[in-house]
Amino acid sequence: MNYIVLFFTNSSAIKFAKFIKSSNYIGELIPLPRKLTSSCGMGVKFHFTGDLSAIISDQIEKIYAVEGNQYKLVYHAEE
Amino acid sequence: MNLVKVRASLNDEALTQRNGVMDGLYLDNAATSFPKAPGVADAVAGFLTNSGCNINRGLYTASFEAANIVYETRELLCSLFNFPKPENVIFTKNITESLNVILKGLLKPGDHAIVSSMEHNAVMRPLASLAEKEVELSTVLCNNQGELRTSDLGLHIRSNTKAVIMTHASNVSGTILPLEEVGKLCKEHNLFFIIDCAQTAGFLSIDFVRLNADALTFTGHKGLLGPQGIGGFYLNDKLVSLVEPLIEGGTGSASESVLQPNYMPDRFEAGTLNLPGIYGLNAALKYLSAEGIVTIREKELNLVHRFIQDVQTIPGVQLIGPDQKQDRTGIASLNFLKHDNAEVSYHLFKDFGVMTRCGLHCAPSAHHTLGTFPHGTVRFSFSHFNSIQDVDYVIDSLRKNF
Repeated sequence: MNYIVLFFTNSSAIKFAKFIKSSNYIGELIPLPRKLTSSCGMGVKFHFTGDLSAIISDQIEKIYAVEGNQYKLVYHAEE
Repeated sequence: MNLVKVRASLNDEALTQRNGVMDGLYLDNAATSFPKAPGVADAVAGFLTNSGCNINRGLYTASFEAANIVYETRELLCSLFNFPKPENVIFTKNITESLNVILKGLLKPGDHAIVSSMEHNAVMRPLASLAEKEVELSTVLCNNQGELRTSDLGLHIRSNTKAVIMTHASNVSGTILPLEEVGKLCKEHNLFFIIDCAQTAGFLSIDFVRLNADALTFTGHKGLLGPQGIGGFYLNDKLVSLVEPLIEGGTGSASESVLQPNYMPDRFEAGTLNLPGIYGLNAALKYLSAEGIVTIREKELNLVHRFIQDVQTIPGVQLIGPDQKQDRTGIASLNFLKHDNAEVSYHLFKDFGVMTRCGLHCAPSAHHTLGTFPHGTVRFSFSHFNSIQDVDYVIDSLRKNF
């Protein structure tokens, strides 16, 4: 499954992209599609098959699963 | 002035750095280091020539690359100072700005702060200005070698004491202050401990956690061997929310709101960062890590010890600060009993090409403590790029004329 991860800060996005790279997942930093509004304009798109709870941290705002051209919200940080 | 001789005495590494070779022998590294670490100038020029774009705004490959370098530089600073979190590393233009942000953002009317008498004006002036707004200030007097007794500091603690702000080493005498003891005392009394390491970053091993520090301020252009115009600070999580930002504006994040975001590092990094400076600092930090702080320190101490030993055989020369056997940084401040210090400094340059700094070094309180106010000292500050021949050249120059 492909996911798009949204962050509160750009730094967190960069940090997560580094983590993705070092863990050998396929993914990259992307400018966020406008309909996925976030605090910062960049996100990370990556391919992942495991349990999402393993990668969730307090720096992640939202996670969307990419299904065709639809985005399905699968995680949202508590306010 | 024998420039050929001076140039020949610089080691190869330093020389390869110097396309436009400075005329003379530079011994004012405590003010700003020269030469810079190998690779710094190329990193700055490379960014401006090949990339040159902003971060956190446009979202294209070059911007991501720059963003990665900025983040990597935060990580390099974390490994140098043992900071726990890269996002709590904030970039500023220099340590003076860092100290202003923290002191003016933290201290409120009725709060009490304690400093040593060896502080630079980068600490003293913001505090003097805060004192006019009813922030209370105590200065712990150091002895005439610039040394602080931690128990003396304890005597100044009151119920409204909020923070201790202290330099790691004096920029005048090279005296190193006992930060580990001070950190322990601060922890016992629940005081914020804010460190100014302008003179020690890149020279002493500094461990933020071990020092029990809450904030540490640094500059890029001295011992870190980076360009001017880049510095920064680190805040622990507790201080992040207590220090109000001095500068507010665009961060490329939370753009739907007119309020400054609370997230780190955005909370303290409004406006475009000095990216060429960060690229330069990045290269400098990689050099420091490869060369090793311990090696750099040993080289510098070897030079300053030889200088001190030899200079004390010249009549009428008084060494200020710690004596030969005590710990110090790579600087030596002298008082010339038979001459005006400013004239010595002037003639050292005019006749011998030796660049030193004379006067009060922006630290009047330190000079009062050391007994060198208002005549000041002549300060010789070495770099590990200097050689034994450089030291001998200065000693010869002094012996011939003073």
